[in-house]
Amino acid sequence: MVDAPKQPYMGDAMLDTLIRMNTELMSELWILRDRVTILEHMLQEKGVVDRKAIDDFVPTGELAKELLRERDALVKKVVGGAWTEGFTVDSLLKK
Amino acid sequence: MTNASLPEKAVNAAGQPKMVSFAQRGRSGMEFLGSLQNFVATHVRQRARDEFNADPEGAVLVQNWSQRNEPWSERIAKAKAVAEKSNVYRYDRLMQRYVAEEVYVKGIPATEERRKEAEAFYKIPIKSAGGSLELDPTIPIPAYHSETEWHLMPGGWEGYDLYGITMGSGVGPLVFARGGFAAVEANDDLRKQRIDVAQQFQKKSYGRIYEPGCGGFGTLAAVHNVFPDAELVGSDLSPHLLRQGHMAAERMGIKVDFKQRDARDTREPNNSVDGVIMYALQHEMPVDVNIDTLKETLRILKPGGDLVMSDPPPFAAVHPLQAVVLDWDTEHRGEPFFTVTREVEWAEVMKELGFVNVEAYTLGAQGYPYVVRGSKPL
Ligand SMILES: C[S@@+](CC[C@H](N)C(=O)[O-])C[C@H]1O[C@@H](n2cnc3c(N)ncnc32)[C@H](O)[C@@H]1O
Repeated sequence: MVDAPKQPYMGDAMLDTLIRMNTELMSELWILRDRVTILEHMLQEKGVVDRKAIDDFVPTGELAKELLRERDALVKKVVGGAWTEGFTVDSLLKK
Repeated sequence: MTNASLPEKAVNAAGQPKMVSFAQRGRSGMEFLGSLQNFVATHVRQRARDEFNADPEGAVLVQNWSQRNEPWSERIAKAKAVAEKSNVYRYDRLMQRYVAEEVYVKGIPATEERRKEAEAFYKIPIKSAGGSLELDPTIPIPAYHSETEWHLMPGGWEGYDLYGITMGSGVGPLVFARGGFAAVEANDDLRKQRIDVAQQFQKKSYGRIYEPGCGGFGTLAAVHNVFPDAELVGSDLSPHLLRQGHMAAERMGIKVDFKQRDARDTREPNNSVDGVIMYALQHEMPVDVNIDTLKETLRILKPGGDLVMSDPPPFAAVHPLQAVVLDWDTEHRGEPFFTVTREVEWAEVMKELGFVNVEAYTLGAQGYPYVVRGSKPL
């Protein structure tokens, strides 16, 4: 068995854990980006979508609204997560 | 079985065996680790080094590092205390450890996913280059070898039947190829380094070259590149690595005799080889085993025969922060003998044992690859 390191590298076990989580997220993010790039490449090769068209596409109408809604929700969830100040059923349902 | 009956995926257009490749998740996950390690070993490490040099105690250590009049354990402890004041250095170490773990944490499942392809790959018949593989299950395997999980590899060299794929398709080309681990600098070309080391043999040609602790075929391939006419013999304790090496050499059409042997007892006749090469072997053996291996080398070399040895540099030959980095591998990356073998000046040991024309020098900017060479007296 390869044992876990005896001492935290950053002087605090929780800090090590956070950095490991963060690095793992970066890894997941890259794996996904690698996949999306391949996906676009293959779709273009098969003549389904033009990669340039994806770059040049400007979302409008309902799609633009959907992206705005999702983007704001992501920011609120991630950044707001650091400032949680208690909650009620109502406050949760409003989210 | 003929190649025609194999799954289509296992052979390329020319009917040659195609190396197994990881699926997208495994491949890109490993490539990420390669990028991370490369960045940490360049940008982050440089910052840690700047902080070390700027520290008053660090500056004193840098000034008279190799001449200090105290045992290495004390010198390293002082340098480590300076290094560890830096959060940048600590982060560098955490990331080194993370990558060292993850190459197996991610690499083994990614290999397992390709088991069918791997098994097909190993069944592809190879046209023999005339080489041989001699395994001897009666050879005593020293406990230090069988009980160490080298480089945090679960179960050690024999711990997983498909480590050849994990390393050959994943860790080697996708992570190690970017450099930046142990003594290897970021962006170092590992293949070229082996060739550079093989070129340290000084004669124009060699009849028979022997590599104890050859692992696979990496270093002997480099030797063949430099001395295409030399007869090659490689030995190691690990049957897994010897099998991999034999297969690789045969595939490349190069005749090599692989034997399972302890480097201290090669069973070769006295005065029977013209050259001996040891590459990355020293740091994986205790000091006394190294000394016995040098004695054995002297026995099998013909009078006038040459030894070329390359391993991470001794502490004395590097910046104190680099010495701390090398020392770190002992506790944190499954390298139990890294520190004890870096404390020794091997050129001196070789002279004491009777080698002549002994020289120690470095080929790279930061002290790696480090070479010690010498000859058996005529
Ligand atoms: C880091 S690997 C280097 C392999 C190879 N020389 C190369 O250049 O890739 C160290 C090797 O030393 C072998 N080894 C350790 N102790 C040994 C011994 N006493 N006799 C023979 N081989 C040994 C290990 O099995 C392993 O393959």
